[in-house]
Amino acid sequence: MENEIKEKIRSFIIRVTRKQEITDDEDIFQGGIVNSLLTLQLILFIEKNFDISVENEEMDIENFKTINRIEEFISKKKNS
Amino acid sequence: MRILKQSTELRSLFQKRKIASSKLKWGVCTMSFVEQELMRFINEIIVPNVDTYELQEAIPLDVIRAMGDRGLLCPLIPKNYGGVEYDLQTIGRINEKIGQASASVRSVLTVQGMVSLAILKFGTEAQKEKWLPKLVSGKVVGGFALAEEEAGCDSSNLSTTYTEVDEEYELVGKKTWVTMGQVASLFLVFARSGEEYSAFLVEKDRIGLQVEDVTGMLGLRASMVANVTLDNVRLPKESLLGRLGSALRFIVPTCLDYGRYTVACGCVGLSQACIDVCYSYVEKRKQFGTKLKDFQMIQRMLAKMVTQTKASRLLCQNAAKLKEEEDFGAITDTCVAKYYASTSVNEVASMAVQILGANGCLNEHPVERYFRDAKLFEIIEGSTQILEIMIANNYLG
Ligand SMILES: Cc1cc2nc3c(=O)[nH]c(=O)nc-3n(C[C@H](O)[C@H](O)[C@H](O)COP(=O)(O)OP(=O)(O)OC[C@H]3O[C@@H](n4cnc5c(N)ncnc54)[C@H](O)[C@@H]3O)c2cc1C
Repeated sequence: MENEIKEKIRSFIIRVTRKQEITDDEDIFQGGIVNSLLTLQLILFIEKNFDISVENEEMDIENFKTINRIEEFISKKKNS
Repeated sequence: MRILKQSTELRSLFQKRKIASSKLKWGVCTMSFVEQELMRFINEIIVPNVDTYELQEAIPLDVIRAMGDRGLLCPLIPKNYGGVEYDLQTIGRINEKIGQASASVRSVLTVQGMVSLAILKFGTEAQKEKWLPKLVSGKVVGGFALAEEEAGCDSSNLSTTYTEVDEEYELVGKKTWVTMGQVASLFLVFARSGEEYSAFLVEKDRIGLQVEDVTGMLGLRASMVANVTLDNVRLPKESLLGRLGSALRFIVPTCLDYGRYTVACGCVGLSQACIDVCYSYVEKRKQFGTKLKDFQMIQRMLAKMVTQTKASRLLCQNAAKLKEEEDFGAITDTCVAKYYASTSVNEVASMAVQILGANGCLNEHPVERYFRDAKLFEIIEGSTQILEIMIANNYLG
């Protein structure tokens, strides 16, 4: 399950950022202007694909910085 | 703020103009009640006074409130906060139609929409209850205070700072180019503390806040732009909007995404306005004993204008559809719509001036204003170059 979430997120990030590859603990928000749309895209993707809703108080970049963090965030929401 | 009167003197001046502002039509589709109300408002209130607004570089507050009364100011806001909760296609058409009549009046819709959306998405319940009904009705006009002298396209280079002092926040800095800033009573101010960027709701009457009118703009002359100085402005903790540090990654992109969509739709309206003036002109104007409409080179320009305008409108509709489907591709496609609509309205407005010849260069004809207004759309809500960078790097295939 954990790996499935991570792979879904990884292929989304690779598609959106056009990176060749991305490791689980790499900061996905490096890159200024290029990545300024990424947060909104990521939230829409997570909400739609994992059927969760990202609440106002969860809009913290620390929750979305790396694939590991995103997976933890999704798993925690799913289990709560 | 300058006191604004729609003086009879000015009105009679404009009534003497050669080309009276002609009434707008919704289009070929059947009009709903919302659309009929909108067109009545545009034709009765905005169209007859557009030139006055331009000359005075201001829109009367009554007009802003009248838009509020009709649910046009913050159409996304849900009914429980006094809004009308229109869908994005309808919001697009509202922006197109008001933008067709006046790009300056339409600019209220973008800022008021951005400020109210930020509160709706990131505000506490108390902030929503306090501000949303007033923003919806137009009792409160909002200002979106992000840009600064040294922070234009690069919003991360803000020098406005906030610090925590005695259980309060203290803001110091200067914001530039705040649309509607001259009449705004609530500013959404973005500031930083080191590498942390946060957003604050700042009332105009806070001690240390000063508003300075900006006049003499190339276009959008009546959009009442102002600079806002924050001289040790103290704010209670409840003025923070969203989490500390959430401004640049969450709040600003959310607002700009709405801003881009509405500006793109406004560009479609401006393009349509150019087309309408040109079609009526080529029908009447004769040279070499022939109506302009019968010259093939004129027809080529008309064909380009029509095609580019339709393409812009379809890109806006596509962005709205993707947004409504909550497709993440909507974010890039909104940039595409804004990029195409804003660059193409410049070509369309330029062709409109060309078709009208010398008449198109005179402010007695609306195309002169269209041409000036169009340029500003390539600068606001993501300049052409910044959008090119974003689109090139976010292409999803
Ligand atoms: C009528 C009007 C209303 C406005 N209203 C508001 C408002 O309500 N609130 C607000 O916060 N701001 C507002 N603005 C400010 C607006 O957001 C900025 O003008 C815009 O972000 C561009 O910044 P700048 O003008 O400082 O240009 P700069 O950032 O100095 O850019 C100058 C030129 O360089 C180009 N450029 C910059 N960076 C790059 C790059 N990396 N690569 C290639 N080219 C680049 C730009 O595209 C532009 O052509 C308004 C501006 C106008 C004209």
